[in-house]
This record gives sequence, structure tokens and C-alpha cells, in this order.
Amino acid sequence: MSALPKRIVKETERLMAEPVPGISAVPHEDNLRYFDVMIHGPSQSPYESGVFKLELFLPDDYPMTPPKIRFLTKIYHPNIDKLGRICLDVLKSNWSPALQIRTILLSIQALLGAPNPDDPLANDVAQRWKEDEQAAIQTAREWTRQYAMA
Amino acid sequence: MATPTSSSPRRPSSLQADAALQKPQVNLVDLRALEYVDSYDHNLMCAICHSPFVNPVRLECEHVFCQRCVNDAMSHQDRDSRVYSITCPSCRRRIENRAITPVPKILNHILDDLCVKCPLEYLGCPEVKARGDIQDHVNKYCAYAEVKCPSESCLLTVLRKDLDEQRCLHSVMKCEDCESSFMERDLEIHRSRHCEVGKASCPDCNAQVLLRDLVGHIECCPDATFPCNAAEYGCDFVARRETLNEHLKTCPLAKFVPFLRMQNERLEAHEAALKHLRHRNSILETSFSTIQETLSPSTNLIDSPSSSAAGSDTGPFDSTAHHLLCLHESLREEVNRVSAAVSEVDAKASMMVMNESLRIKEDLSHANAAIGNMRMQLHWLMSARLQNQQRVAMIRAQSSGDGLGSSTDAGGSNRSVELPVRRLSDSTRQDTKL
Amino acid sequence: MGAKVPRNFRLLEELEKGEKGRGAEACSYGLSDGDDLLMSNWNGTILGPPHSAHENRIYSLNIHCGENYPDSPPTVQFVSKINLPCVDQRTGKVEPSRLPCLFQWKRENTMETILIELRRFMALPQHKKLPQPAEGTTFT
Repeated sequence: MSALPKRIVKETERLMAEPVPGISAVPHEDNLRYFDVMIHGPSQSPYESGVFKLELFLPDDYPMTPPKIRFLTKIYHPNIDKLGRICLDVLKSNWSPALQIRTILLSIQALLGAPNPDDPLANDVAQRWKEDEQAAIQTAREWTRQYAMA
Repeated sequence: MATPTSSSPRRPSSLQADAALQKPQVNLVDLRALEYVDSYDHNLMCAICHSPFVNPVRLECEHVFCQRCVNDAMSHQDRDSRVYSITCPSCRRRIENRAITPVPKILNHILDDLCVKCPLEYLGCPEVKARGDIQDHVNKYCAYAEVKCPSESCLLTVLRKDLDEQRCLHSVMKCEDCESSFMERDLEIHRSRHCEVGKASCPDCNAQVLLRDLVGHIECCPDATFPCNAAEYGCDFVARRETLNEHLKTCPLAKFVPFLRMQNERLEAHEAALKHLRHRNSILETSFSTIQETLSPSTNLIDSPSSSAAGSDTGPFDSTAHHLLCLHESLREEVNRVSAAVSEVDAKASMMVMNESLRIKEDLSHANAAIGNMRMQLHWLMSARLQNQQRVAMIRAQSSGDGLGSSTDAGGSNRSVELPVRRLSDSTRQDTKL
Repeated sequence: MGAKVPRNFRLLEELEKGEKGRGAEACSYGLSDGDDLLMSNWNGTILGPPHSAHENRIYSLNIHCGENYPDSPPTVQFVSKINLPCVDQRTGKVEPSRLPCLFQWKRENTMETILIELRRFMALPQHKKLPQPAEGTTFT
């Protein structure tokens, strides 16, 4: 195993020392590029008071390529599919090496607060979101209660 | 201890050692992997590698990154897209011109001044250097850097600190206890830390302990003797650990140890302060005496009665110092008074000069006005005279010959044109006359 | 040696590769339950190699990736009946000890590696003549 790049060491240290409110990221002991992440659902959103588990992996050429992230908690959201994959531009084409774990996790938290059904990953969810937003939000709330509250 | 089993031909020569010094092995230090001693301004951190910039460069949008980081980012963007232009990692602005510009020198200087630990710290080098000097340190000075073995025939390396031995430390020796072979340079470490057979006897309990455990054993050996905690304050009790604990409960001196220690510390602090004060005092005294020397003639002249009075009143040292201070004070007052007077005089003088110059300016403008007036009058007179002369000449010409009609026509037209022209020329001529 | 890709991200990579159909040589695979966040159970299909008893047959398999995948190999089980030395004739289970890529499992191996190797196994001359059960029958 090659040595961990200084940048990853520093990012991890800072995530531990100055955690972002409502977000935690802890690296696995046996793989320091693999993080267990918790994100609290933003208030005023259907995900409020839910705690969502995610996994994050920093590939070999991070930070030149974006980190890989996936939800491990089931979530009803037009931009997140059944396997927890996230549709977010900064995780794909709009990635920049100046972004970091911290900023990406904040973006995901923001995505929970502002779903974007016009750029869907989960087509059925997006469809419902557009046709009957109230009902979709209600489902999201139920899923949050069912899966994201211990 | 150890016996050399095979010794390679060694020719200790200082020349060789010097050559090794001059031609160090070039290990490029990775500046990103260094440990920075102090916290640095976060603005000095490259947004890509999160270390202080290494060879920083500037993009069109004026964002700064390490050269290597920018190159990496560019090559990755090239791989992902077919567009030639790239975007700045920080602001996403499109960068059309890939020519990267250097950053101001001052930034490089600031970066070079950051203090880092020697990268060979893990081998024991305690040095902390400016980042700009660390490569030099490793290449030329670091005692823990690997350099070529001083022996000509040996191709291995030794730590620079071992160069002083002036001989090859790579001959294989046998550990006399466990029979395994080591190079001489590693033997000592083996014996003191790793050897599983070598034994030594504890100086206190005579037990046979593994050499590598000796230090640890001595710390907890039940037979080791220790002096009383208050040994430095006069208790000469020496005993084994358990007996000592008993003794410590009863020893009056030991109970006073913390207090005495505190007193000692305070005493030392006071002594240091006193020393400092003494030093200052001596400086002040010498300066006083020099002042006194320079002033003594004048003081004698000015107020010898007062000084003699003061001298008779108090002790000799007090009187001179006091007198000197008084003198100093009065001189200062005098100087103040004089400087105040000087500034007053200065203000007065400048006021006077100003008043005077105002009046002169007024006079000058009066005179100018008068001159202008006179000039106008002169004009008027001159032109009146000229007109008169012309009229006279014309009357004469008419009376002398009426035959030349054409000439009179020309003369008339001449006159009508001439009048303003004359005036103009007159005025210019007047200027030259004045 | 680079970063060690964790199980879930490795499976996502394989899923994407399988979905895009970039898999070679008439093998395909996909998740059997698209809702399963753990991505444990997979379906694989192998198109029988030409010039063999398997020609024009389509074999389907179940692949189960355990918690330790890809450090340890997945378990592979034929759904369609097939007669091969490495396949348990009662259950359809592929015997890890009799398929080299399972026996000498490496972290870099994927489910595609297994399917391709199985297909190659079918095409081996010594296996060509094996009598095959009727097409469309399944292990129970």
C-alpha cells in the first residue's frame, strides 16, 4: 500500500478537529481512503431530524478525480437512486481539485434541502415530485421516519 | 565485545572522506511531505495539494497553485474533455492561455522562510530549518543523511555522523552472544535493542538480564538503591525502594522538599533579577559620571552656592546625584524656555514678514494700475497727434494738385485701412519703448 | 499498488460496466434485486460458445457476493442445467476448487472474469463431447 498523500491526511485531520455541524466523516482503520459518513437532514426539509449513513471513497487519483459517494440509508429523493447513488454535478463533470470532502458533503446536505426533479437520477421519484409535490414530500417524510431515525 | 570476522581492506584516508562530503548523494526532498513546525497563513496553502505552495505559478485569473498541481489538473481535464481550454480549479474561469506566469518573488521568499523539520527526523535528526535551506541541509550537513562509505573499495553508505570514524563500518562482525552477523554500523543497535541472548548483570541485584532489557530492569529492580528525596538538603539516607518509601514517610527533610525547592526557585529568580538591576545601575552610574564630568566646570560657575549648600546638607553620594539631577532639571527647563522663546520669535518674525509683504504687494498693484492708466493716456495722445499730422498732410496735398484723381482715390482707401493698422503697430512699438 | 477499492464501490463499478454492456464475449450480468443496497445477489448469463454442445444455448447463473468480496470470491451457481466437471450436478453450484479463477482468486478478478472463464471452460476440447441435459431445464 502506497503512503497516503499528505492532502488526504490533512483533510482527515481537519474533519476530525473541526467537524462540520450536522456532518461527520470517520475513516476506516484498515482503509484510510474509505470513510463512514453521517449527514443530518436539513431542517425545513422532508428529511429533517433524519440521520443518513453514507460511504465515501477517495480513488487513487483523488483530488484530480472526485470522491465516490453513496447513500447507505434508503432515501426518497429525485436525485438519489435506489442504490444510493447521487446525481450531483460537482461529483461528476463539475468536479474541481480545489473542492474537498468537506465541501462535497455540504453540497449533498444542500441537495437534500433543495431537490432538483429536472435533473433526475431516480426517474419515478422525479416524475412524482413534478406531478404531485405534496404527496412526494409526504413519502420522503415517511421514508425518513422509517429508515433514517434510529 | 565484538570481533571482526572478516575485514575488508580498509584504508582510512581523510581525502576519501572529504570526497564523500563534496559529492553527496542527491536525494530530492519532497517539500510536500515535510512537517511544518509552525502554523502558516492558510493563504499560502495550495488548494489542490493542501500544502504550502511548491514552485507556485499563476493562472490568467490570478489564482496561484503549485506548478505540479496545475500540470496534474490540466492533464486530467485534457483526458476528460476534447476542448483545448481548461478551467481554473478555484474559480472555474476558462483559461485560454496555458502560459502560466511566475508569482512575485516575495511569495517565494515567504515560502522559503517557513520552518520545517528535517525529513530524516525519523532517524534522529533534531534539526529545524527554513524550507529553502532543507535541501542543502540534507545534501551537505545533516548528520543522519546517507553518504558514501569512506572506504574506497566499499560501495555501501554510512550516516554522515559516522564518517568521523574514517573507516569502513561495513565489515561483517558477529554478535558475541547470539552468533548472528551484522555490519559493524548496525551491531551496536542490535546489541542494545534487539539481541535475544546477550546478557549483563544488574549492578544492584546481580541478576542476569538481557542486555536489551537492562535499562528497563534498572528502573524497576527491587534491589536498586536510591538516595532520599531530600539528599540535596542534607539527608544522607540511602536505601532500597521499599525501605526508602518507609523513610520518606518519616523524614522531616523530605517533607520540606517541595517547600525548599520552591524557595530555591524564588531565590534564583530574585538573584537573577538583582543581577539584572545591578548591571543597569552600573550603566546608569557611568553615564552619570560622564555627564558630571562634562558639566562640572559650568556648574561651578553658575550655581556653586546652591550646590555647596546641598553638599553640606546631605551625604556625598546623595548630594552629587541630587545636585546633578537638579542641574539636569534646570538645564532642561532652560532649554524648554529658550526653545519656546525661539519659536515665539520665529512666529513673530514670520508674521511681520507676511504683513510687510502684503503691504508691498498692495503697493505694487497700485503702481501697476497707475502705469496702465498712464499707458492709456499716452496712447490717446499719440493717436490724436498722428491723426492731426495726417489731416494736415492731406489738406496740403489737396491744395497743391487736384489733377491726379486716381491718386486721391488710392490715398482715401489707404487712409481708411491704415488707421487701425497704425494703432496696432503703435502699441507694439510703445511696448518696446517702455 | 494503489488505493484498495472497498466492496460496495467495486460492485458499483462492475454494475456500471455490466449496464453499459461493455462486457465482452457474450457474457452479461446485473443485479437481481435493484433495490438491494448491499448488492449481494447478481444474475449472470452466458451464451454457449459456438462449435460446442452449448452452441446457441443461454445459461443463466446466480452469483452471490458476500461481505468479503472482492477479497474472497463470490459463490456461483448455475440456474440452467449444465454438465461440466466443475458444476455440482445436484445443485448447480460451481465448485471453487475446480475452477482456476476461483481457486486462485485475486482481488483484481471480477464477476466478468468468472463468466468468461466458465465460457472458455465450456469450449475446451475435452468438455465438447460431454452429453448435455435438455435445453431449458433448471436445477431445483
